[in-house]
Amino acid sequence: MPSLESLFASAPLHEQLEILTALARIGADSCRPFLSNCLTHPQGEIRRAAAHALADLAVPEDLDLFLTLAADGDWVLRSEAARALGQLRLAEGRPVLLDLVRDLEPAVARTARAALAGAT
Amino acid sequence: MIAATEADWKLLTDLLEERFGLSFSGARQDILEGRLRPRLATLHLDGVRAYYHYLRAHPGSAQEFEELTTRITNNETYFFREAAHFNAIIEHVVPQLGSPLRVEPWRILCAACSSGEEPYSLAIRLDRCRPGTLRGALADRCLRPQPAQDRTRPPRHLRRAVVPRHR
Repeated sequence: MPSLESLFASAPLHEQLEILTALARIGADSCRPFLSNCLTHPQGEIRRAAAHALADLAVPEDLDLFLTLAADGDWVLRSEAARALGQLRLAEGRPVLLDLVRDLEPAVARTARAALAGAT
Repeated sequence: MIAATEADWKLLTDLLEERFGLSFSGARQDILEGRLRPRLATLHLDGVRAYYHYLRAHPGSAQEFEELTTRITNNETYFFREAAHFNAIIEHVVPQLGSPLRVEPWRILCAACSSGEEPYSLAIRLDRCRPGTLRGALADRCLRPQPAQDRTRPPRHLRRAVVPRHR
Protein backbone atom coordinates (compact mmCIF):
# COMPACT_ATOMS: atom_id res chain seq x y z
CA MET A 1 0.00 0.00 0.00
CA PRO A 2 2.71 2.55 0.79
CA SER A 3 4.12 1.87 -2.67
CA LEU A 4 0.75 2.54 -4.27
CA GLU A 5 0.47 5.76 -2.33
CA SER A 6 3.95 6.86 -3.34
CA LEU A 7 3.17 6.15 -7.01
CA PHE A 8 0.12 8.36 -6.75
CA ALA A 9 1.86 11.76 -6.79
CA SER A 10 3.65 11.21 -10.09
CA ALA A 11 0.96 9.13 -11.82
CA PRO A 12 -1.28 10.46 -14.61
CA LEU A 13 -4.93 11.01 -13.72
CA HIS A 14 -6.27 7.68 -14.99
CA GLU A 15 -3.70 5.78 -12.92
CA GLN A 16 -4.44 7.93 -9.87
CA LEU A 17 -8.10 6.97 -10.18
CA GLU A 18 -7.13 3.30 -10.42
CA ILE A 19 -4.91 3.60 -7.36
CA LEU A 20 -7.80 5.03 -5.33
CA THR A 21 -10.05 2.19 -6.49
CA ALA A 22 -7.36 -0.35 -5.61
CA LEU A 23 -6.91 1.11 -2.13
CA ALA A 24 -10.65 0.79 -1.51
CA ARG A 25 -10.55 -2.85 -2.67
CA ILE A 26 -7.65 -3.61 -0.37
CA GLY A 27 -9.93 -2.28 2.32
CA ALA A 28 -7.29 -1.82 4.98
CA ASP A 29 -7.79 0.75 7.71
CA SER A 30 -4.39 2.23 6.94
CA CYS A 31 -5.67 3.44 3.53
CA ARG A 32 -8.18 5.80 5.10
CA PRO A 33 -5.89 8.72 6.00
CA PHE A 34 -4.55 8.79 2.45
CA LEU A 35 -8.04 8.64 0.97
CA SER A 36 -9.22 11.37 3.36
CA ASN A 37 -6.35 13.60 2.26
CA CYS A 38 -7.44 13.14 -1.35
CA LEU A 39 -10.78 14.75 -0.50
CA THR A 40 -9.00 18.12 -0.68
CA HIS A 41 -7.18 17.34 -3.93
CA PRO A 42 -7.46 20.16 -6.52
CA GLN A 43 -8.67 17.71 -9.18
CA GLY A 44 -12.42 17.12 -8.83
CA GLU A 45 -12.35 13.57 -10.20
CA ILE A 46 -9.79 12.63 -7.54
CA ARG A 47 -12.00 14.03 -4.78
CA ARG A 48 -14.95 12.10 -6.16
CA ALA A 49 -12.99 8.84 -6.46
CA ALA A 50 -11.66 9.25 -2.92
CA ALA A 51 -15.17 9.80 -1.58
CA HIS A 52 -16.35 6.74 -3.52
CA ALA A 53 -13.54 4.64 -2.02
CA LEU A 54 -14.27 5.86 1.51
CA ALA A 55 -17.98 5.13 1.04
CA ASP A 56 -17.08 1.62 -0.09
CA LEU A 57 -15.10 1.17 3.14
CA ALA A 58 -17.78 2.93 5.26
CA VAL A 59 -16.21 2.67 8.71
CA PRO A 60 -17.81 4.30 11.76
CA GLU A 61 -14.62 6.25 12.49
CA ASP A 62 -15.32 8.29 9.35
CA LEU A 63 -18.79 9.34 10.45
CA ASP A 64 -17.82 13.01 10.92
CA LEU A 65 -16.16 13.02 7.54
CA PHE A 66 -19.35 11.73 5.87
CA LEU A 67 -21.46 14.26 7.76
CA THR A 68 -19.20 16.98 6.33
CA LEU A 69 -19.35 15.52 2.81
CA ALA A 70 -23.13 15.51 3.04
CA ALA A 71 -23.02 19.32 2.85
CA ASP A 72 -20.48 19.53 0.02
CA GLY A 73 -21.23 21.59 -3.06
CA ASP A 74 -20.46 18.64 -5.34
CA TRP A 75 -23.51 16.38 -5.70
CA VAL A 76 -21.27 13.31 -6.17
CA LEU A 77 -19.71 13.81 -2.74
CA ARG A 78 -23.16 14.26 -1.17
CA SER A 79 -24.30 11.08 -2.89
CA GLU A 80 -21.30 9.13 -1.59
CA ALA A 81 -21.99 10.48 1.90
CA ALA A 82 -25.59 9.26 1.67
CA ARG A 83 -24.45 5.83 0.53
CA ALA A 84 -21.92 5.58 3.36
CA LEU A 85 -24.38 6.77 6.01
CA GLY A 86 -26.85 4.18 4.77
CA GLN A 87 -24.30 1.43 5.22
CA LEU A 88 -23.23 2.67 8.66
CA ARG A 89 -26.82 2.83 9.97
CA LEU A 90 -25.84 5.07 12.85
CA ALA A 91 -28.42 7.25 14.57
CA GLU A 92 -26.25 10.35 14.00
CA GLY A 93 -26.54 9.89 10.25
CA ARG A 94 -30.33 9.72 10.12
CA PRO A 95 -31.12 13.47 10.34
CA VAL A 96 -28.57 14.15 7.61
CA LEU A 97 -30.09 11.47 5.40
CA LEU A 98 -33.53 12.99 5.98
CA ASP A 99 -32.11 16.32 4.74
CA LEU A 100 -30.51 14.64 1.73
CA VAL A 101 -33.85 13.12 0.75
CA ARG A 102 -34.84 16.69 -0.13
CA ASP A 103 -31.62 17.35 -2.08
CA LEU A 104 -32.09 19.31 -5.29
CA GLU A 105 -30.11 16.70 -7.18
CA PRO A 106 -32.50 13.77 -7.76
CA ALA A 107 -29.69 11.17 -7.76
CA VAL A 108 -28.66 12.28 -4.25
CA ALA A 109 -32.26 12.26 -3.03
CA ARG A 110 -32.82 8.75 -4.40
CA THR A 111 -29.59 7.50 -2.82
CA ALA A 112 -30.64 8.98 0.53
CA ARG A 113 -34.07 7.35 0.29
CA ALA A 114 -32.45 4.00 -0.47
CA ALA A 115 -30.05 4.53 2.45
CA LEU A 116 -32.92 5.19 4.86
CA ALA A 117 -34.67 2.09 3.58
CA GLY A 118 -31.53 0.08 4.20
CA ALA A 119 -31.07 -0.68 0.54
CA THR A 120 -27.52 0.57 0.04
CA MET B 1 -19.61 -6.61 -12.88
CA ILE B 2 -19.97 -4.42 -9.80
CA ALA B 3 -23.51 -3.09 -9.32
CA ALA B 4 -23.66 0.54 -10.36
CA THR B 5 -24.83 3.17 -7.89
CA GLU B 6 -27.16 6.08 -8.70
CA ALA B 7 -24.10 8.34 -8.88
CA ASP B 8 -22.26 5.96 -11.23
CA TRP B 9 -25.12 6.03 -13.72
CA LYS B 10 -25.64 9.75 -13.48
CA LEU B 11 -21.96 10.47 -14.01
CA LEU B 12 -21.89 8.30 -17.13
CA THR B 13 -25.21 9.42 -18.60
CA ASP B 14 -24.38 13.09 -17.96
CA LEU B 15 -21.11 12.58 -19.81
CA LEU B 16 -22.91 10.93 -22.73
CA GLU B 17 -25.46 13.71 -22.84
CA GLU B 18 -22.73 16.33 -22.76
CA ARG B 19 -20.75 14.57 -25.47
CA PHE B 20 -23.46 13.23 -27.78
CA GLY B 21 -26.64 15.03 -26.74
CA LEU B 22 -28.24 11.65 -26.02
CA SER B 23 -30.34 11.00 -22.94
CA PHE B 24 -30.29 7.61 -21.24
CA SER B 25 -32.54 8.32 -18.30
CA GLY B 26 -35.23 5.96 -17.03
CA ALA B 27 -35.82 2.77 -18.98
CA ARG B 28 -33.16 3.70 -21.54
CA GLN B 29 -30.58 3.02 -18.83
CA ASP B 30 -31.27 -0.70 -19.30
CA ILE B 31 -30.60 -0.35 -23.01
CA LEU B 32 -27.35 1.42 -22.25
CA GLU B 33 -26.29 -1.22 -19.75
CA GLY B 34 -26.97 -3.98 -22.26
CA ARG B 35 -24.90 -2.27 -24.91
CA LEU B 36 -22.01 -1.46 -22.59
CA ARG B 37 -21.67 -4.80 -20.84
CA PRO B 38 -19.66 -6.52 -23.62
CA ARG B 39 -17.47 -3.45 -24.01
CA LEU B 40 -16.62 -3.39 -20.31
CA ALA B 41 -15.66 -7.05 -20.53
CA THR B 42 -13.38 -6.34 -23.50
CA LEU B 43 -11.66 -3.53 -21.61
CA HIS B 44 -11.45 -5.65 -18.43
CA LEU B 45 -13.38 -3.03 -16.51
CA ASP B 46 -15.56 -4.19 -13.65
CA GLY B 47 -18.24 -1.54 -13.58
CA VAL B 48 -19.82 1.69 -14.73
CA ARG B 49 -17.65 3.89 -12.51
CA ALA B 50 -14.47 2.33 -13.93
CA TYR B 51 -15.76 2.96 -17.45
CA TYR B 52 -16.57 6.56 -16.54
CA HIS B 53 -13.01 6.99 -15.27
CA TYR B 54 -11.72 5.45 -18.51
CA LEU B 55 -13.70 7.91 -20.61
CA ARG B 56 -12.70 10.87 -18.45
CA ALA B 57 -9.02 10.22 -18.00
CA HIS B 58 -7.57 7.33 -19.99
CA PRO B 59 -5.17 8.25 -22.84
CA GLY B 60 -7.32 6.09 -25.15
CA SER B 61 -10.53 7.91 -24.32
CA ALA B 62 -10.84 9.73 -27.67
CA GLN B 63 -10.79 6.38 -29.46
CA GLU B 64 -13.18 4.94 -26.91
CA PHE B 65 -15.67 7.74 -27.52
CA GLU B 66 -15.59 6.76 -31.22
CA GLU B 67 -16.25 3.15 -30.28
CA LEU B 68 -18.99 4.23 -27.93
CA THR B 69 -20.72 6.20 -30.68
CA THR B 70 -21.33 3.06 -32.68
CA ARG B 71 -22.54 1.19 -29.61
CA ILE B 72 -25.06 3.65 -28.25
CA THR B 73 -26.54 4.92 -31.48
CA ASN B 74 -28.86 2.99 -33.73
CA ASN B 75 -26.89 1.44 -36.59
CA GLU B 76 -29.90 -0.37 -37.91
CA THR B 77 -30.82 1.04 -41.30
CA TYR B 78 -32.24 -0.23 -44.56
CA PHE B 79 -34.45 1.04 -47.35
CA PHE B 80 -38.08 1.58 -46.29
CA ARG B 81 -37.41 0.75 -42.66
CA GLU B 82 -40.28 2.02 -40.48
CA ALA B 83 -42.65 2.07 -43.45
CA ALA B 84 -45.40 3.68 -41.36
CA HIS B 85 -43.38 6.90 -41.17
CA PHE B 86 -43.14 7.15 -44.94
CA ASN B 87 -46.82 6.31 -45.28
CA ALA B 88 -47.71 9.08 -42.84
CA ILE B 89 -45.78 11.63 -44.87
CA ILE B 90 -47.36 10.54 -48.13
CA GLU B 91 -50.88 10.20 -46.77
CA HIS B 92 -51.06 13.06 -44.26
CA VAL B 93 -48.30 15.60 -44.87
CA VAL B 94 -48.16 15.74 -48.65
CA PRO B 95 -51.89 16.42 -49.13
CA GLN B 96 -51.70 19.32 -46.65
CA LEU B 97 -48.88 20.98 -48.55
CA GLY B 98 -51.36 21.50 -51.36
CA SER B 99 -51.06 23.11 -54.74
CA PRO B 100 -48.89 26.22 -54.04
CA LEU B 101 -45.86 24.01 -53.49
CA ARG B 102 -46.53 21.92 -56.53
CA VAL B 103 -44.61 24.33 -58.72
CA GLU B 104 -41.61 24.60 -56.36
CA PRO B 105 -39.06 21.89 -55.60
CA TRP B 106 -39.58 20.58 -52.07
CA ARG B 107 -36.59 20.68 -49.80
CA ILE B 108 -36.69 18.13 -46.98
CA LEU B 109 -34.22 17.77 -44.14
CA CYS B 110 -33.78 14.14 -43.14
CA ALA B 111 -31.84 14.46 -39.89
CA ALA B 112 -29.45 11.82 -38.51
CA CYS B 113 -29.88 9.75 -41.66
CA SER B 114 -26.66 7.78 -41.24
CA SER B 115 -25.69 6.23 -44.57
CA GLY B 116 -28.63 7.65 -46.51
CA GLU B 117 -31.25 4.90 -46.74
CA GLU B 118 -33.97 7.02 -45.10
CA PRO B 119 -33.78 10.13 -47.33
CA TYR B 120 -33.49 7.99 -50.45
CA SER B 121 -36.48 5.93 -49.39
CA LEU B 122 -38.44 9.10 -48.80
CA ALA B 123 -37.31 10.51 -52.13
CA ILE B 124 -38.44 7.36 -53.93
CA ARG B 125 -41.85 7.45 -52.24
CA LEU B 126 -42.32 11.14 -52.98
CA ASP B 127 -41.18 10.77 -56.54
CA ARG B 128 -43.90 8.22 -57.05
CA CYS B 129 -46.62 10.65 -56.01
CA ARG B 130 -45.07 13.97 -57.10
CA PRO B 131 -42.54 13.17 -59.83
CA GLY B 132 -39.60 15.55 -60.05
CA THR B 133 -40.54 17.68 -57.07
CA LEU B 134 -37.86 16.67 -54.58
CA ARG B 135 -34.49 18.11 -53.77
CA GLY B 136 -33.02 16.28 -50.80
CA ALA B 137 -30.90 17.56 -47.99
CA LEU B 138 -29.05 15.16 -45.74
CA ALA B 139 -27.73 15.59 -42.26
CA ASP B 140 -25.43 12.92 -41.00
CA ARG B 141 -23.95 11.90 -37.69
CA CYS B 142 -21.08 10.22 -39.53
CA LEU B 143 -21.61 6.65 -38.44
CA ARG B 144 -19.27 4.10 -39.86
CA PRO B 145 -21.05 1.78 -42.29
CA GLN B 146 -20.86 -1.84 -41.27
CA PRO B 147 -18.94 -4.08 -43.70
CA ALA B 148 -20.96 -6.78 -45.40
CA GLN B 149 -20.51 -10.06 -43.55
CA ASP B 150 -22.04 -12.44 -46.03
CA ARG B 151 -21.68 -11.69 -49.70
CA THR B 152 -23.90 -14.57 -50.79
CA ARG B 153 -26.95 -12.68 -49.53
CA PRO B 154 -28.28 -9.22 -50.45
CA PRO B 155 -26.89 -6.40 -48.30
CA ARG B 156 -28.97 -5.68 -45.19
CA HIS B 157 -29.86 -2.19 -46.40
CA LEU B 158 -31.65 -3.69 -49.40
CA ARG B 159 -33.73 -6.14 -47.41
CA ARG B 160 -36.95 -4.26 -48.10
CA ALA B 161 -35.99 -2.44 -51.25
CA VAL B 162 -39.31 -3.06 -52.92
CA VAL B 163 -40.85 0.34 -53.52
CA PRO B 164 -44.35 0.37 -52.12
CA ARG B 165 -46.91 1.44 -54.65
CA HIS B 166 -48.56 4.71 -53.68
CA ARG B 167 -52.24 4.28 -53.09
